[in-house]
Amino acid sequence: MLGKLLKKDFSSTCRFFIPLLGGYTVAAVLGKILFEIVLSQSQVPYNSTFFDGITIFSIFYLIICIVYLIACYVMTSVFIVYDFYKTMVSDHGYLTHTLPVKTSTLIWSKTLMSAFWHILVNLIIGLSFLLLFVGHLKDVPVMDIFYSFVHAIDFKLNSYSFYTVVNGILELFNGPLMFFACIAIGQLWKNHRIMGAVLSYIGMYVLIQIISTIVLVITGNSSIFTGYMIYATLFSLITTVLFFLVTNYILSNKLNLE
Amino acid sequence: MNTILEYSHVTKQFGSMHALYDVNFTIEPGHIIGLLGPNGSGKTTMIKLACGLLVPTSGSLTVCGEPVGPGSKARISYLPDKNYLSEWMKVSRIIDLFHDFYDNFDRNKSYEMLKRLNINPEQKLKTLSKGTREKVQLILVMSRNADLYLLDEPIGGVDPAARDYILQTILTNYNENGSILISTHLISDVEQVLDQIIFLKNGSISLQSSVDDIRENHQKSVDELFREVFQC
Repeated sequence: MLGKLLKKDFSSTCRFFIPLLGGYTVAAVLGKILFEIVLSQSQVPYNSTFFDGITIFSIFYLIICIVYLIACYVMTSVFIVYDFYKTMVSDHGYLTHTLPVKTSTLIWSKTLMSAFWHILVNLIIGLSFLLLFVGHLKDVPVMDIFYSFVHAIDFKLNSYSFYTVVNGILELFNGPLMFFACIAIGQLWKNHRIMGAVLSYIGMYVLIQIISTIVLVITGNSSIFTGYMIYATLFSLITTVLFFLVTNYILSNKLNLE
Repeated sequence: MNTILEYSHVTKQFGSMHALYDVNFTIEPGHIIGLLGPNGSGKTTMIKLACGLLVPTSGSLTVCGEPVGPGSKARISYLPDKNYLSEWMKVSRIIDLFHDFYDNFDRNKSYEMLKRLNINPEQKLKTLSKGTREKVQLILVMSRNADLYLLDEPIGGVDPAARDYILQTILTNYNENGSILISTHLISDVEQVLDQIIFLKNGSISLQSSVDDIRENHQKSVDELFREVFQC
């Protein structure tokens, strides 16, 4: 049934993400063309009117692209949350919760779909940056930048790369599941359920920040990553499991679609 | 005979208010039962509990002997009193969706019913009128070969001509080894098709009887008895 749910969730989320990411791809290609024009103009004899015009346009275009990029990240989370709310606890929940599937499978489907779109968004944004520098990579000291970064944060590849990768994977599930758990907790409120979800989120966020800060203070003496990285991975794992269990418990045992 | 639906001391509270209080009843196969009561009497709550959309405060429910869950949901075909389908979807895509999830969904039957009603399967739901959308929902529900059909106000929002069509559709398409529970307050329209009734008053069952017994013992139609019992 998970496969069928993923198919259903994919088709319903596609209609939002395809225009969003399609638009970003077109913007990135246009940005590349503009970038090349600006570069080529900088190598020909100075044409003040054209050069000024294209420079101003490029700056505006760059600002628009950055706003679009941020919007891609924000809207991805917004739509994932909206889709969960709409299909799990709103009118469409009447269909979702009468399908012959376990509640846990429903949550898995939503979480996996969220992880898929987050990966795709990151991939497309990463590729858009790569596209920008295609043909000019030899001019960019990539390895120097990388080693400077590693040195600056005292990052030991052998010791900590594992935790970084695991943390990154966990974050794909932790983020949406925290939203899902808050929406589920909001359902326990008799009235004002959206407000209940928002307040739950704020409360949970503050609590997590307090715990993280305390542990950072305790473990942060030797280096940024020593101890803290292990803690962060463990904490992320525990909260991810907790968010899933809370969502599953409430939607299985306390569901009240009104 | 196996019981299809059983409520055992089911109580449902919303805050301090009792929507249902200590409800006990069973539904056996092969019946068309009217769940009758005024607005706010608990009809929708009762149906939603059987579908798993609400969880009882106390008591238990079983569908074909098993508790409410994926197994029971596979056996129940539920028509809610609201639009629960995504309006951006084409009718054909919704049919595919039902076919994917319900083993007892008969795709050919649904296309036949759509054809009879001149509904184009390639139309999106949002382009259909409210009445046509309700008919699409009914077609989806009645295209399943279910053990129990739970129909919440199936004729509530449509004109009298469409009511006849809907009742006809229900009667000609349901699985005769199963049962139908129809919730409504439009009794005169459905009385002809019912063989049992349940009167629900303030969250409790005030009468459960066969339609024949009502006519014999009370010398009244169900509609007349309803007006007497629920007189304001």
